[in-house]
Amino acid sequence: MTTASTGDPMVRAVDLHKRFGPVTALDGVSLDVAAGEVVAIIGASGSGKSTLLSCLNHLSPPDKGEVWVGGKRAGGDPAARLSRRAVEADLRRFRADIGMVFQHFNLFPHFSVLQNLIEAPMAVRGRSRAEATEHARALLAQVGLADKEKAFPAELSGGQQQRVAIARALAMKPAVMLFDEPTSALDPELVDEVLRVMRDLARQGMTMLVVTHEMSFAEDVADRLVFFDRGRIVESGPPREILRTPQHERTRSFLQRLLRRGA
Amino acid sequence: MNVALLAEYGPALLEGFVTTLLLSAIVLAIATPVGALLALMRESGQPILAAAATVYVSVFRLVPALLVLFFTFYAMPQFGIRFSPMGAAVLGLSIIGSAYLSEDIRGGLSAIDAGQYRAAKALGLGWGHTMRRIILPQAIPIILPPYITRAIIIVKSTSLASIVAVADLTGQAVRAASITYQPFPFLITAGLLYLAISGLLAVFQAWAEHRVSHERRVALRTRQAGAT
Repeated sequence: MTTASTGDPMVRAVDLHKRFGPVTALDGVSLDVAAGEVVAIIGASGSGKSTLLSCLNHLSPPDKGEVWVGGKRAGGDPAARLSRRAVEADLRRFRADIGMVFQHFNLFPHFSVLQNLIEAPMAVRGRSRAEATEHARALLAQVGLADKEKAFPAELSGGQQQRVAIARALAMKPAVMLFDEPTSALDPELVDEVLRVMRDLARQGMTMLVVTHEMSFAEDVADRLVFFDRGRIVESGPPREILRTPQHERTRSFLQRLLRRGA
Repeated sequence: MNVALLAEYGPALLEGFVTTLLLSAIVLAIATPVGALLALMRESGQPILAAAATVYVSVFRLVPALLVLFFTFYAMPQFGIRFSPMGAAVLGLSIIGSAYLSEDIRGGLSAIDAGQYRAAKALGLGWGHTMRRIILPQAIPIILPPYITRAIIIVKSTSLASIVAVADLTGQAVRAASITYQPFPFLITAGLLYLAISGLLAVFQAWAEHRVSHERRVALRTRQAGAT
């Protein structure tokens, strides 16, 4: 097992393929993300953006291809010929190092906000309740919800729930954060409070992959923009360049459609 | 109503009542964990486990309970496996009961949003922890009402055991009726005693349903108030 040296990418995806029945969701995707880099992923729905995220943390493992995060390969070293059980255990550790934020928050509704944040750090990281609680409170303060630790998810607005979900992911002290359309399910007036938290996180140097339709966020915050179409990366580069002067016809028509919708 | 007759056969009826209670409790105590196991097998995503559980559940939901009881009592001895009447009844009713209960439990499990599993998995939580701490606490309030309905049906189905010579409440009542040629008082008494057990469960069910729907209403109201 190698560890990341400086210069190695924080995230490395090599030739990922994924099919769902007759649908090809990923058709040979490779992507390197440097430590501290923020990558925005755009593309039409069904283009494979969300599938890429769930392949990166092996929520749904790719059919083919490799993922490395922080110098560790998902599923361990193939030369070690690990048993299925050992691979599963390795994947659990692997996922624990990757924070994921979902479109629909997916908070645990029967837990208080605080319990949502401390459950996994205690169970997976073996932290004490006191330690986990202290960290959770700091994170809630960071996302502006210090007064909500006793609330239940159903008592919060969508924007507040998504901020809790971000804090829950951060509570694991992840090396990378994956955001899967984090503002798509929110009422328009609640989008900014979530983007603000993500902006802060980017400023603090978190490595982030963000699937989003928020073009202004992508332009302001992302270091790199990746345009997805039909399971492939069509175009990739500095956000401003891609948004202003897209090179590919597909990127152009996608951005035009988006503009016409007034997004 | 012949009070003297009832007094004479009262102890036998009471014995039958106790047997029925015991039989119901044992069958539920076996069928519940087996049913839960079958449900988890079907939801496990492991093709072989899921297929085995599906076959079991399909077969024993489609076969008459009485036939299974006859099988455990009369047919198994042919293979050298001999049960007491009570043993045969427990086995047969548990086999049928677990098949039905697994469907109720699976219904509750599948009502939980797939996002809950994904969130737990993304945090690195294992399957056991996810079930115990995340999924089951949300599924049990959903499972409880149909579970109790099923428990009532199972209690009533224990009367089938009288046909394989178990001296349960039905068995004792029928015996007293046929000896005395007075079916009316004994069958009415047995009916009232069944009503007492089932009624108690039904009251518990109503209370549980009220609690669950009350909690849902509160959750919904606070959600609506919270969302701006």
